[in-house]
Amino acid sequence: MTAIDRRNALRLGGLAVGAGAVVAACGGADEAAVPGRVGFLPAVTDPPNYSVDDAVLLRTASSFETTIIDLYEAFLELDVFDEDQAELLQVLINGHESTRDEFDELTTSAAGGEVWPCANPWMVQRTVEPMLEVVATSDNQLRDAFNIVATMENLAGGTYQEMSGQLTLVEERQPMIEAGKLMARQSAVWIISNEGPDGYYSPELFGEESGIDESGVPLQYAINSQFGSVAQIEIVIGAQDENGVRQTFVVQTPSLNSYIYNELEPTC
Amino acid sequence: MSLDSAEPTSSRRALFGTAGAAGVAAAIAALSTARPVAAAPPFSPTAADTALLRQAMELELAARDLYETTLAAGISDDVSQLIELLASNHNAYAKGIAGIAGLSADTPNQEVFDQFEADFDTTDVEAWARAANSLENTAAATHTELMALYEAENAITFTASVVMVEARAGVVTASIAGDSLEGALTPDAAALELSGEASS
Repeated sequence: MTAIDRRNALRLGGLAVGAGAVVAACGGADEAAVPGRVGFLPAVTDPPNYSVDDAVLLRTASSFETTIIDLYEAFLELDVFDEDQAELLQVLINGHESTRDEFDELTTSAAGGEVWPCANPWMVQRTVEPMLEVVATSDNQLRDAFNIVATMENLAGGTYQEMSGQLTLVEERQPMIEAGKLMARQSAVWIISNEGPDGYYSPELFGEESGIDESGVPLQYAINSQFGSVAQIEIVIGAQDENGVRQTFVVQTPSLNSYIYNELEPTC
Repeated sequence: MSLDSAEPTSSRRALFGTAGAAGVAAAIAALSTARPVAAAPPFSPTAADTALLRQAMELELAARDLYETTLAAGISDDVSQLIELLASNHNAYAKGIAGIAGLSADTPNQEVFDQFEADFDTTDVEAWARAANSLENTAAATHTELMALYEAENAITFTASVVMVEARAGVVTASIAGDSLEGALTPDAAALELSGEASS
């Protein structure tokens, strides 16, 4: 040790604690109740308390659609799908575009809000970009892209199922659950078109273990639960690491941390 | 990918045409206009909700019974487990709805059952799949329409969870029937007309 040896460090530490106690004891009752600050970190500030109304939900739903469209277009550019799969993926993109248009229309006409023209920044930064990085170095890009598409369709369905119970106006609720149904159907069509009858329903519904493919990655199923799920979804993608483990992502329906609040300004 | 569309709307309407037809439009209009817009919804079903939930429950029980009819007919093992699953699903939906509304899940919609029974009493897998596809899409459309009428939060959220799986079942049955998967994305099913009155 150079300038401060261990003994001095302990002595200084004890001095600091003792001085803190003296300061606390000399302060008023209110001051003593507040712990002192140590170090040079900036003071903690409370997050803004933005309200969540129908416009926020619809803007968030629209941002989710844009996120999915951008992701699928990235897969098309990656050119991992065969012609039939790419054609079907374009059908799914069309469904997302029309759904986004409807959300945008409702945002202004029914909810009195402003259209959000961008993807969802939280989802892009926390989910989409990291997943695309993993896919880029994957041992099987086709498998991963297929599973990501199925997962995003499931997540979109769960999101709109959840939001259909949160929106206050009937004229918003109906299009929202229609969007949820479309996503559920798109998920089922995507899975069946790739897996055939093996993808009809999950063996877990009969108390059996879910299937895995030849690389050990869980299979997708058109009917994967008895009731529509809004729970988080785990997806396994990428190449195995030195321990034989692939990366697992957990994706969730939008919530307070990923809502597109009315106060936010578009950045795209 | 080439998918023929499911049955024409007219034939499906004919199947459901007489089921619970009394006064539906009037009931819907009355309920829609009576509800204050954007008011905080009650959590538990109102009296109006309960009447509609009873109809929804009876539809689900009829669906369960129709699938059990197919199983009793001795259809191929290739699809029997799926049919068991669909019967189990509809039974669970009926019980869930009954639980929300404080009803007993023991009165299937006999009119729906009678009209579909011949289609489901079969060992022809493709014919069964077409009937099942029509039933699943019609049930999903019916619940979707009911969601506009429910006042209670739990009726809305529970129904949404039912609709999502029935939509998926519609795609699965379309696939078995040999229909176009792309067409399965936008089925032309019409909602079953429900009276909002208790069936006898």
